[in-house]
Amino acid sequence: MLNQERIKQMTKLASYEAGEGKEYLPISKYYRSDYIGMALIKNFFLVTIAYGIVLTLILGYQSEFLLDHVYQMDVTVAVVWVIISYIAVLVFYSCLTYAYYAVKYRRAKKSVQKYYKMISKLDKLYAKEDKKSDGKQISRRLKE
Amino acid sequence: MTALLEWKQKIKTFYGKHDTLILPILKFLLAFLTFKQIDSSLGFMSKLGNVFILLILSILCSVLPLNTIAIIGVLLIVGHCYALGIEIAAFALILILLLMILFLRFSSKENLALILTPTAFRIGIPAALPIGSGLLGTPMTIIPSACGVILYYFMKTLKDQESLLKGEETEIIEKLKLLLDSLIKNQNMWLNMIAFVAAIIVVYVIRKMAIDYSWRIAAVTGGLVYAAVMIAGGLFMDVDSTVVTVILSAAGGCLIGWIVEFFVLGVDYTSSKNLQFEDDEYVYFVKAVPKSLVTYSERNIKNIAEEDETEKAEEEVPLEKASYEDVDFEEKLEDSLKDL
Repeated sequence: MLNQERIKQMTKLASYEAGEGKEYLPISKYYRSDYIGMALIKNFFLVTIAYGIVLTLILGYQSEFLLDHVYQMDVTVAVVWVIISYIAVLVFYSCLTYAYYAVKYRRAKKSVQKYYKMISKLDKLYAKEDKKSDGKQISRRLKE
Repeated sequence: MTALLEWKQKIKTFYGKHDTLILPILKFLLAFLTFKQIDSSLGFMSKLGNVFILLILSILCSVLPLNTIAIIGVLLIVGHCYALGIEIAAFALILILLLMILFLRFSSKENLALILTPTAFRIGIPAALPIGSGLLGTPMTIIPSACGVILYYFMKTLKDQESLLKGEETEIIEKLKLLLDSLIKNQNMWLNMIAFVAAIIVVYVIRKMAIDYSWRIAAVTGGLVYAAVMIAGGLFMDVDSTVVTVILSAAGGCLIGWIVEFFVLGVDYTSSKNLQFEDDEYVYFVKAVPKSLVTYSERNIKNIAEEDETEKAEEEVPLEKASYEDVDFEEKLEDSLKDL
């Protein structure tokens, strides 16, 4: 027979899975350190690519000036500046990424807790129904 | 006001009944408007401006997630740039890639503002975007809005410098320099970005305050801040926007903010109540503001005139006369005798 309470609970679960859960359920499968670590590795590659592009654009933009003054320039100092600025940008974006993904992970965990509560409630409803059906079967057998 | 509220209620009910149909239609319209705006702003590749192609792309966007509009829009921009030259397309791709890596990846949920910003500029009410974003979104909308401003001014430069960028006598380095200068040294762009950021922050902060009419005050203040920054910036920077256009844009933005408030919030501050209660741990001071709701009955219109006519017609139908041959008089006589 249809159990209204169970159907309500299942509808709630399905709507969560289709909405908020779509984003948060995959996140909750990771450990916090794994999730943030992966984001930081991805950030490293992305920042390196972006820095490379920006550097190329700057070099292209200043190409005439650089060609004219290449012999007067201290190449070592320039390279050191490029490396220092790269590290500074990387650190800045790593901090940003850490903060962003830490907040996202905390939100996901909080949201998924509600989902698990709903699941345990559904489990209890199933167990209750099983008990009822078992009781009915026993009473039938006794009558027979 | 009651009529407006009734109208709003009807729209909500209608949307509730047919949301599975209305949402794709709205997405389709938004996508088509955005793609058409990109085509009218650039229009270098006539094939991409074909209405059938735009319609197919819009239909595709109507069933896919909202961010698809932004992705296809960006691809259209790159496609138009390709008609100017492969180096221009490469520059556009690099610019968009940089914006995505450095900024847009932190605001994936709010990226609708990125595609709406150039559209708002084209319509002539750029102030509507920071006001709308501040009212409906989070402060994170600053990122896509600012990127949208960059994208709009990049498109504008392409259109303004079309002949120079298309010309084969111009060297690639010169073209790239021209494009970079148009972004870095564009004071209009920087001023608009500052105005957008200031307006979004102000609108968001005021909207979150626990004061009466906070949404309306936020919309008006946002408009004023936008206008003030643009006018003040115009005094010190080399910008081409006039005071009248800025004020008109701010006024348009305020109006849109009020419309948004009416549809999204719609509360009646005149009937608000201040409540105070307590439990074991806290004393609560609660301000309850009721939503402006009107009850309306769905009227079924009966056409009485038509019903009367049909009744009359029914009455006027002549009864069929029974012929003498069909009646069995003997049987009838027997029946009546049985009763006796």
